[in-house]
Amino acid sequence: MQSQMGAVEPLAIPSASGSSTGRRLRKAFRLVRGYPLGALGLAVVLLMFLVAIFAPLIATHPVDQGSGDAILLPPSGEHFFGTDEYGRDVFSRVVYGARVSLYIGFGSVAVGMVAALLLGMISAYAGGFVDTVFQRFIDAAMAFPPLVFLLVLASVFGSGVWQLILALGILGAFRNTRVIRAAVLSVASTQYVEAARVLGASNTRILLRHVLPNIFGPTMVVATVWLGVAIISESSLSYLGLGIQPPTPSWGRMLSDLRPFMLQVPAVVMFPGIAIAVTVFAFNVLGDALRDILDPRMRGAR
Amino acid sequence: MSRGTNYWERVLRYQASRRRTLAMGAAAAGAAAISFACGSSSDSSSNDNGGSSDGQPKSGGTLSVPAIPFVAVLDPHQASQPNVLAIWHNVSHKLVEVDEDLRITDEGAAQSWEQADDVTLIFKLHDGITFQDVDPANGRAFTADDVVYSLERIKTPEARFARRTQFEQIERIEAVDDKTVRLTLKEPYAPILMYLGSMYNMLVCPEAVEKYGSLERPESNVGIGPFILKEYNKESHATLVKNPNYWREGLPYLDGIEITVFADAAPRHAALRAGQLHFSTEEIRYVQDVLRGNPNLTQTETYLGGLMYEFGMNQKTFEPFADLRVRKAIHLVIDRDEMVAAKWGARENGLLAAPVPPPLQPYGLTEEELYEIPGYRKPKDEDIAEAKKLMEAAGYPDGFKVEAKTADQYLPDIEPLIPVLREHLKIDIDLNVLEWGAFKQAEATGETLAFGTGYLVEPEPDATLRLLHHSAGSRNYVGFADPEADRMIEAQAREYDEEARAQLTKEAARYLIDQVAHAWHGGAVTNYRVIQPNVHGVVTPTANFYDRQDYTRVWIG
Amino acid sequence: MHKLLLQRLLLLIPTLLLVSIAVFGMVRAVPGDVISILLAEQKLAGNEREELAAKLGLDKPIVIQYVDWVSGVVRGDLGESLFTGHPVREDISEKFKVTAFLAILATIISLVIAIPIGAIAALRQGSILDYFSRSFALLGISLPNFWVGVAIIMYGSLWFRYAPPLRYASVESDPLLLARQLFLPALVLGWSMAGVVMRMVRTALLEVLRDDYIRTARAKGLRERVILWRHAMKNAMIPVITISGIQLAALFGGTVVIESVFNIPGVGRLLVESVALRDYPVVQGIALVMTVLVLLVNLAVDISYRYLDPRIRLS
Repeated sequence: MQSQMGAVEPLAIPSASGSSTGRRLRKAFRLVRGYPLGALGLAVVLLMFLVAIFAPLIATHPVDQGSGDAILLPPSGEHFFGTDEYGRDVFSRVVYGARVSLYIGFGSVAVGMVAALLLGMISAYAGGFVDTVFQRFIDAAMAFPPLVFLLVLASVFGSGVWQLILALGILGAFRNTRVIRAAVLSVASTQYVEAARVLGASNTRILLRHVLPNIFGPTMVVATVWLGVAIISESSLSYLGLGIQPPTPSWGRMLSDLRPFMLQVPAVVMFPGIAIAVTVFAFNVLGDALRDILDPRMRGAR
Repeated sequence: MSRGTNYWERVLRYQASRRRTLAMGAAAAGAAAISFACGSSSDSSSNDNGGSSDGQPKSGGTLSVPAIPFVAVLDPHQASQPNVLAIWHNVSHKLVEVDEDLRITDEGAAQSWEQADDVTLIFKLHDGITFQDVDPANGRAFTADDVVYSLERIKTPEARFARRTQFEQIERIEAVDDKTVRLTLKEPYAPILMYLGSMYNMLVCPEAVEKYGSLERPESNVGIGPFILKEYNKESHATLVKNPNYWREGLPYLDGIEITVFADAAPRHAALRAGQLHFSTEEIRYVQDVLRGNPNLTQTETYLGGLMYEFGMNQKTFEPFADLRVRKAIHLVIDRDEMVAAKWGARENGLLAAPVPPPLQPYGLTEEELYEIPGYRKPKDEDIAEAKKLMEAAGYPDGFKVEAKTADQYLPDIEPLIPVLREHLKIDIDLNVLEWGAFKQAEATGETLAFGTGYLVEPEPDATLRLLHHSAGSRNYVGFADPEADRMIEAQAREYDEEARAQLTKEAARYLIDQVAHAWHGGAVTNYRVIQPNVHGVVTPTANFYDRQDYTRVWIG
Repeated sequence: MHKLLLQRLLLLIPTLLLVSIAVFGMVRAVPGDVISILLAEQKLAGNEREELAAKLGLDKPIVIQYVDWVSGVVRGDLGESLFTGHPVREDISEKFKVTAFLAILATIISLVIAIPIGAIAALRQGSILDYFSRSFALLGISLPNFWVGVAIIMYGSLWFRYAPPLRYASVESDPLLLARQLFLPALVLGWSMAGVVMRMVRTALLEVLRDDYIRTARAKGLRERVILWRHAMKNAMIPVITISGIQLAALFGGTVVIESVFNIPGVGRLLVESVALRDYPVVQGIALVMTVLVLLVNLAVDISYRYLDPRIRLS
């Protein structure tokens, strides 16, 4: 499915003069000019990070204090994004919701990546029968309707941040193992690895020092895409009632809860949606730009 | 006749039009036959809610109405979800009917009834009642024996017959002749008429029960009603057609009913706006959305309906809850006004929950009376201070931690309570949101320490009192067992005289609030029925908005 | 080729077996059981539960229940709903057709959106058109599709008096009408999938445009457009078909949100409700059929893949 990486090309082009900082800056500018969309995505991602980290400083109201007289107010100076159906300040909830979304995104990607890496590396490296069995198992796992999986998991373990991270992580692992495996296979057949093996390096050493760093590229790309998927999945699960449970604010849950009031206070209802859209879009374009940068074949078609 | 939209107007109307009491009391000797003759459609003004009422009903047309999913159990005698009634209220009747003013009427199978003595009721059925001409009843005559059969079935002493406790006081039911049923009670029992008219207590077809074993199959949903169930698809729709042999002359007006299941409110609202649905019941906070920009204005009706939410404190499994002081402390800090307003947009839109809620006049404490009781009264400073002292006295000055289970649909009602309990009493609630099935099981088997749940208010005060507060109450999940409470509950059921009974129910309610059997917090809802202007004859029920889903006299103009 | 096909079909069997056990086990692992739901509001008396359990066949040991079920499945009998008593097969077949129809429509729409945009992105890389069209595709995957659906319905009904149909046509009797009715939901779904496919098209085209194969063809002097359409597209279609197949497969489980929002009587909603009701046979039946469909689609994709890629065919 995913294009395979050739041998790693050194990205740094030594310039004739100037300090290394200057070189790096120039390289950075070049990248930004070459990939404006990706740069924008990076900027947004960083912004979201900052918002999540500094949430307590940015938020204007407590997150779970509703007020009976302040229900569904449109945006104002007091409530930048208006209030929700309980009278809670939507701006503060969106700000804190960034934490949850990033948490879920990175958490499930981390879980998924670790699992996919393990499975992919073991499968590719072991080869033969083990590989085939793993492949079949992954096929079966991927064919299993994810909805059933999620419903069952939610029914057994309840729904919450950790459960969601694990569930989405496992689902992601199944889908991405193939990509990782392909990447490992391609790297494993390079000369560097051959050389290392001839020199007597143990498999673990090879895996850690040669394979891992070189599959960094495709891993990163997959990770950014999957981050977006995780955040969107959380919102769909919230719609079905399986998402993050209150009082933790989550964008998906807010979007789902506010939808009956879409015509009454459209401005208020838009904000969690915009937050999700902007963040997921940013992750996606960032991933695209990374893919373009890391894969030499993607640069400049003509 | 325009319906008052002011809450107090509605309450007063209940008191004025109350004529549902059984007879006289000990002084009355002989039998007094009271015949209710308010059944004819033309003078029942509350039936008309169309704007352009030229008065004369027209035949024809198919009514299109929405339903919500989860029609879990199709057997009305075993069902606990009211969606099944969309079908059963049209396919059959109850013995007596209850109208929107909570009066007993002859819209059911019974034409009249009389009270022979304190413990005997005699019902006379309408003439010429027949079953639908559908297998297995095949149009045969409906007799008193069939009434006996249905009532006995409701009483079946098995757990799945959810409302058998309503008829526990019946000693004997017998068919005196083809058209007469005699009901003998064990002791005086005031709620009996309301229970006979309760929305689940449908008269069913004995042959169908015998043939299919239960009433779960759509094919077994046969009765004496004006419509015949033609098609039933659990998740998407049900179709009913006019019963050509319906025993009431000239009825029904409609050719059929199409019930469409909606899983989400958005397509339902869209269907209303686009004119695909004839009417729908919407919560007050969504009505704005529904009505928005709808130039061919849909009529609205308001009525008080019935859900009460409680913070369940299981006295059997969690020691602190067994201590009255702890329960009282929790009860005192709950700001019911705030919780109702937070959920429904304004205090007036909701119900002040109590063991017998205010809409059930004269049996419930009125809102004025409730506001005088600690816990309900405002401002809350005194109560909160008292609550803190109680917690200290009980030995929990630093509060405690407890896991509370709830289902997803009750979540919005318990959510606002959590910061309140934490702030004032340092009670840390660890909310565990379960999926509906898992929660229901946990609730029923007592596997909870605390829980958040809701109950449907029935128009009969005995229902809430007995089921929830009696030690043997089938929905008493908190394990409240107080002999004095039991005595009071049993006493009010024996009193026929309305005023005297009201005294007893209020006394019981006060006692139960004082003993904090349940920590009631929010309550439902003023719902709106949003009706297209050309639809007439829709009955708007009061205390329980799932009731009266029958469309016998509905017509499209 | 045929040997390969046979081999893959045979491999399906252990996969299916594995899946059937997984489905069966998972559903039963959920706490709360159907009996409790049936008796939800009541305190349960001892022997009544047992009677009900016996009637529903739930009192037999798990393994026996599994064997019963599997032996039924092999004969084409998926059991009966614990609630309605209706055969599961009847209950779900109509809904599966609707969901499958929706999924296929959505996939087609996603291709219609994605292929041109992907081609533009590859051919006019770095242009304004590239950025705008790619953004459009990526916006689709950045918006939660229930939200898009709800917005369409709310504003559609407000401005155009549009509402999703109360009844959807049947696949057999009036597929054209059904296609019209399902157009909007398929559009929403398709848009939400297009981004991924667009990426594939772009990547594959970019790759292929540099390929030696193409350089050779170009050297032979054929016109550019011919080069593009005949060679590049065909080879680029391989990963596209693969990903479309995966998407289509994923859709089988993923339509529940759109089905709820547009009130479509599909199998997604049935699944969610049946899990809530612990109606094991229905859930098992749906999960099994879904998985089988997915595996078949994957198989078809694999086969067409090998057929389309000359390099693989020749190897």
